[in-house]
Amino acid sequence: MKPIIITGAYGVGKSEFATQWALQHAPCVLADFDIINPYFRPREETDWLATQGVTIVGSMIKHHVNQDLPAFSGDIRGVIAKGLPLIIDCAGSENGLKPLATFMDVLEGSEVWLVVNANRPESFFDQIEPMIDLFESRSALTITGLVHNTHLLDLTDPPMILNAQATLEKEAQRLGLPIVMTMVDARLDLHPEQFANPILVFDRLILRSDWMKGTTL
Amino acid sequence: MAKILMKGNEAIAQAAVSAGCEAFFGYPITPQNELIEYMAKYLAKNNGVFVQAESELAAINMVYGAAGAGARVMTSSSSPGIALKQEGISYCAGAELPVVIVSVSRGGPGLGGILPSQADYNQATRGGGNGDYKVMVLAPNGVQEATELVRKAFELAEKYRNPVMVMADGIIGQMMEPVEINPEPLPPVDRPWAAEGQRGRAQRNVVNSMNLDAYKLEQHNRDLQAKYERMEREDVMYETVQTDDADVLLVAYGTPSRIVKSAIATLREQGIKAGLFRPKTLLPFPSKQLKAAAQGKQFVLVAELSLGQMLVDVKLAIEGTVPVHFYGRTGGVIFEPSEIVDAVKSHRKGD
Repeated sequence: MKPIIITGAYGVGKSEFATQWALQHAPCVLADFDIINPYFRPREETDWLATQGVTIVGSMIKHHVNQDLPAFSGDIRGVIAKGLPLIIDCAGSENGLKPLATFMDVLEGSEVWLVVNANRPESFFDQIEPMIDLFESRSALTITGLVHNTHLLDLTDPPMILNAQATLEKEAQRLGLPIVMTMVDARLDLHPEQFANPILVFDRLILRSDWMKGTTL
Repeated sequence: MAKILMKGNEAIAQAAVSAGCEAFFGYPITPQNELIEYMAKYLAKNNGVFVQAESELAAINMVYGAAGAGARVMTSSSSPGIALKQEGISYCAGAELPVVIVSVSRGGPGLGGILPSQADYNQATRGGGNGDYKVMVLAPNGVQEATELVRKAFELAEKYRNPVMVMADGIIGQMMEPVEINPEPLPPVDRPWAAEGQRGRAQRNVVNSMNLDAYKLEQHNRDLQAKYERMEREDVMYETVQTDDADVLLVAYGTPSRIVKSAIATLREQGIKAGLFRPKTLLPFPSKQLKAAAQGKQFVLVAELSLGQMLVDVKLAIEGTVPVHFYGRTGGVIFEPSEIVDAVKSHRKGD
């Protein structure tokens, strides 16, 4: 299995997707390579993920998950050498991909999935093509697929996802890229047969506390 | 405008741009960097001025200069950075300049940590600058309210010719939420005091916080105090949730108030009637309203992401009429709703 690199604009749900994907493909390794923003990173759930068969490799030293270190762990080479299933969660924007150049000798040929959310200003679908140009030119990587993650947290409803999916399908076809997966909250009345591509159904958000839901009782 | 998904720092910045902020001066610090980054990207596109200063001291003094010249101006920082800006904030208060300061606070003291905290309540409401001055402090509980209070901060700064601080904890800065930002710029206000050229006036305007005449300086201070009293009369903001039938009153502000709301729901399921009093203005503090809300309750529990700072204002407000207890976590640790539930139960008579 090729390593999967997850990229996209800030705040489109890359880490949540990478974490949910890892949970559904355990045992596997989730490389938390976000060295830009020290909040809401998969490494915060290192201990719990370990109980689920997901090993975190990150830039932290031991269990100090809140270190703000601009560094990557070389452990990633061992993971790739052993051929373990690996998903790499990068920081947002083209800058999140740049440091991967250090590992390009072993990452060549990886899947590179761009996560998009029609409700995030920097990820509106008319931005996908320029974003791909920018990301590829800065990283020497080639985007190989799109992950559809349109949501508005608790305000997400099925039409929101289905409408965005239809728009994205046209855009993906125009760009010659597959939609590799669509993220779907299990509470929504949506089913695999409504999508031409696989869907990733999740029960709860891993990187967001329950109290962050609505502001009213 | 439809709701979109934004990170608190971005939404705060966009709210300022939409409100008509003309100039921003800042210096990077976690956890508010996206705010500065957003301003760098979008303020110039809206004919504004963005400068990344060489330090926090430089930034706040640029704010002083731009406000003195009549611009609608903002800066932002986080705890140690706000500490560095205190001298300049006192100067802005002394010179009666309308400026907006956003504080996205993190754990302290000193460099502390980069995770959310409310240990800068005293820093915001008491300040570290010199003199008898006050800064209005607004405390949102989420991303949507942060955008509304940033807009409100510009209005209040201009109403009172005074610095207004929007105090968000690191969670608000970093969390994503659906938002709808008011796109209408605030109307321009007359600034006949601004140092923007003589423009036919008999005397040129001088923006200054120094006055070597003791009697004049005393009068200036009395005028400032009258202004602060007016803030308390006219612009106190707070929210109450299920307080009327409550036996126990919880007091919290910012994102922790949402954790407390979750705890209240659990407590009520267990037959314990709890309610929330949430100050939205930390200065002026809603003292009278809190005292009234607390009357007849078994006790008050203050919950903060600090080891007890707003607690002092709560005790001052309640004047010993009701017992006041406290629960806090600090250093970047965020309490869970269950901790608040347990804290309430531990103080209940007979439980």
